[in-house]
Amino acid sequence: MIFNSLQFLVFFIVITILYFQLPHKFRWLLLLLGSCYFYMAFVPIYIVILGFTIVIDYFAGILLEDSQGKKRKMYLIMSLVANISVLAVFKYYNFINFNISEIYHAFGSDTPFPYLKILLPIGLSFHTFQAMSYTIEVYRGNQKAERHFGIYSLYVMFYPQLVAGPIERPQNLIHQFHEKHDFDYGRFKSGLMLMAFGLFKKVVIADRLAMMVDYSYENSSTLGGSTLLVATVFYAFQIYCDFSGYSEIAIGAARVMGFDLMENFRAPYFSASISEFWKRWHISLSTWFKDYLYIPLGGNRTSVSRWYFNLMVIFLVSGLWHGANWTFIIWGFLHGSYLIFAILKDKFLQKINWKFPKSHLNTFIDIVLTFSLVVFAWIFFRAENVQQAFTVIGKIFDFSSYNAITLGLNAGEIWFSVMLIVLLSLKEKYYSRIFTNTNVAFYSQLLLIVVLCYLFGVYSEKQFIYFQF
Amino acid sequence: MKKTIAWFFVILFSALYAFASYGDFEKTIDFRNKSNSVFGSDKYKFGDLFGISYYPMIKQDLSKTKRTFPVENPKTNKKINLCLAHDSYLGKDFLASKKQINSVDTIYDLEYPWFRGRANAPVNLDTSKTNVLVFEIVERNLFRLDKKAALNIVNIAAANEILALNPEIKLKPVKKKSKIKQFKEIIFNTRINKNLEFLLFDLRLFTPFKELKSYINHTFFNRLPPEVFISENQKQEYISDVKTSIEDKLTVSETEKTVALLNEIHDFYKSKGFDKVYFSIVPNPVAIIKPEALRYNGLIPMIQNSPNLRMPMIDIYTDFKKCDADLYFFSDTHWNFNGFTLWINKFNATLNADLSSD
Repeated sequence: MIFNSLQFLVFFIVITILYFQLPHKFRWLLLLLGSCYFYMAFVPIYIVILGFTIVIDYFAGILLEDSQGKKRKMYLIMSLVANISVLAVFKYYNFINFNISEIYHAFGSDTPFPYLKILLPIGLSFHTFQAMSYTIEVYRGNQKAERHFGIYSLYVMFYPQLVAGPIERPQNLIHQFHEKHDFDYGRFKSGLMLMAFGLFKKVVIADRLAMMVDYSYENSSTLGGSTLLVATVFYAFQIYCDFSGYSEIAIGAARVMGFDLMENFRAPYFSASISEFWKRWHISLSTWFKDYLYIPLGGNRTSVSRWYFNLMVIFLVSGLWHGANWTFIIWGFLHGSYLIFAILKDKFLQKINWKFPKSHLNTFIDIVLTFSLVVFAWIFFRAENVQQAFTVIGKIFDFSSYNAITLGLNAGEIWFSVMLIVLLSLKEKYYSRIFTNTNVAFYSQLLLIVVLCYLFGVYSEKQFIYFQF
Repeated sequence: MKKTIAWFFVILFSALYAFASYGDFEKTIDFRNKSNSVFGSDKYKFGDLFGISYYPMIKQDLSKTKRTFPVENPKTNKKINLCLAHDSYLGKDFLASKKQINSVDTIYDLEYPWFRGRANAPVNLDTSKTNVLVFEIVERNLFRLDKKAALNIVNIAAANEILALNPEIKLKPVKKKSKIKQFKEIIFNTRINKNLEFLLFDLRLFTPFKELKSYINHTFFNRLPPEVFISENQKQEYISDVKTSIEDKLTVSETEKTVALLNEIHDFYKSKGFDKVYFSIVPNPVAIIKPEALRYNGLIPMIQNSPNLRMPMIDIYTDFKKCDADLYFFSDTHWNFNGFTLWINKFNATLNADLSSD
């Protein structure tokens, strides 16, 4: 079930009203059944995979808490291996097999391993990571093992964030399922407003930009560099609006019912450095990697070379997390390189005792530079394969290929898209909270957004980009 | 009180969801199509293309269109047992007024499998009459007609010698779905969004909003749904069917495959006892109106002019090309009553000539 559908609208209304009507002791059951239905609406059979990881991690949590010493570590490893195995089979097996077969081909023979004919379960990486964070936190003693199987299942399956995050930590979410939430009109309003803005980002901005980006990348071999440059910049905003729009609907839907999910985006394109970008982009994932991979590897409290190694590992794994394709690995490599280069640059400037004077102009230049680097990396993220990515890059840097911009749609649509991006940037920068104190202000703004979503929305049943991860 | 209202909404939306998953839509559609109030349907009232685009500048109330030409009906003295496979909704009009069709005594209404997906009612071939089989098909559906569909469309099941001779013609009974599969299809109905959209918004109450959206998209962004495009003079909407109409160049081998299929259909049904078998392709509007500007690919003339064609054709393409009158609705993919009447006249004339010469 996708958020930008009538099915979800009706589902959300029924579940939310029922949630507040039922006695507290039955609410977990309602949410769990609702979440199962929400997930099964995509491909019903994949609930079995989800069920597998839930059962493994539920018992792993209890065993971890009840045991001591080496046994604890063993249970943790077993749980992590089970989770990673699911990911490996469904997400990475065919990719690894393909690369092995390429090596075999180079030596003139065929791969001995068969390809699996399976579809990637929606949101697999998200709920697997959320499940893994639970066992790790129980192991670390930061979270008590959840003995209520239904509540634990709900922690993994809570429908607003089940298929595309935010990837929650057990300390933040599990206790909320035990607490009784009474209907709060203020939360209801702010949650609904957040959902409306998320929907606007998705259907008005992201899906409009998608039409132009898809056209340009599909025809990248014949289009000029200027078109591909504009398409890539548009893609930066498409993926942002798509993913942050999803997160806002998820956070808003949970907020209406009284739950607080973690923030996932904080105006990332206003970052003045790559390290700042990663504190503002997909926060729940970047903190996951920081907490569960970067720090255990030693973080920056180690030798310089090891620190760089740790950084690169994090970003390569992050790339691989997004998808089983070399394009994602290169995307991660680029971000790792950016960070290492930034550290080297800072060290060099420190050495020669040079400091850039703080000014609005310098900050602006930093923002533009950071944005340019991020956009460059997005080329690999968007491209179907490495070859296409290099075709796009080659054309963008070949100024002789620049000609009239043809994004498959008319000039009015392109300028309208630019205007939407400018408005979005202003809103993100200056109005983090929309004034909804009075009913008139709230309902008139809500109505306005709904009307704009209807009139200017692009309804193509396009799924959210991050569902594939 | 608050509790009562809350439960009211739970029941209301749950019922809506349940109905969208497993409701009797035929009754709802009938009710809405008949209603002239704001709760009536706006999907087909002004044409199927209007129902896709809602572009307000081309909007024709189909129920208010009238015939221009009289029906010419020179009757033969032979009684005709007519089996008509058709995909025109005006075919219903055809069937309802059989007096306008030559000396037709009995008519069998046969539907193509992509409409209902169920077997047609059995046909009784009557050797005391002239058994005529006519395939009328719109150009854009031509490539959907494959051998299996064509050879199974007539369910000859008469208790006569023809059936005895050809028992294999009977359609295989449709396999029943398991209870679990049926349950799954209801619970996880893949059409639920379309059904909800129909239930909630296929109402004339919302037509102005849909028109406003369409107007904005077309005026400012030059964009309409991909299925539809509009003529340069802003008077006609077309279905954007690449394969059978525009842009896509056809090769001789592609059209010859269709010719071979038509020959096979002809020979098959002749061998099963039909006295006459005809085929008629109703041109897409782009084939008739400004074909050069819209780059019509010439499918119909390529088939009809093929030297290998044995299937007798009721050639409406040539008549349509010669006619100056409007033959299509402006906001619909189908012919209007003029086009339809021309077809009947052509059909009657063809049949009359063939049967008189026999």
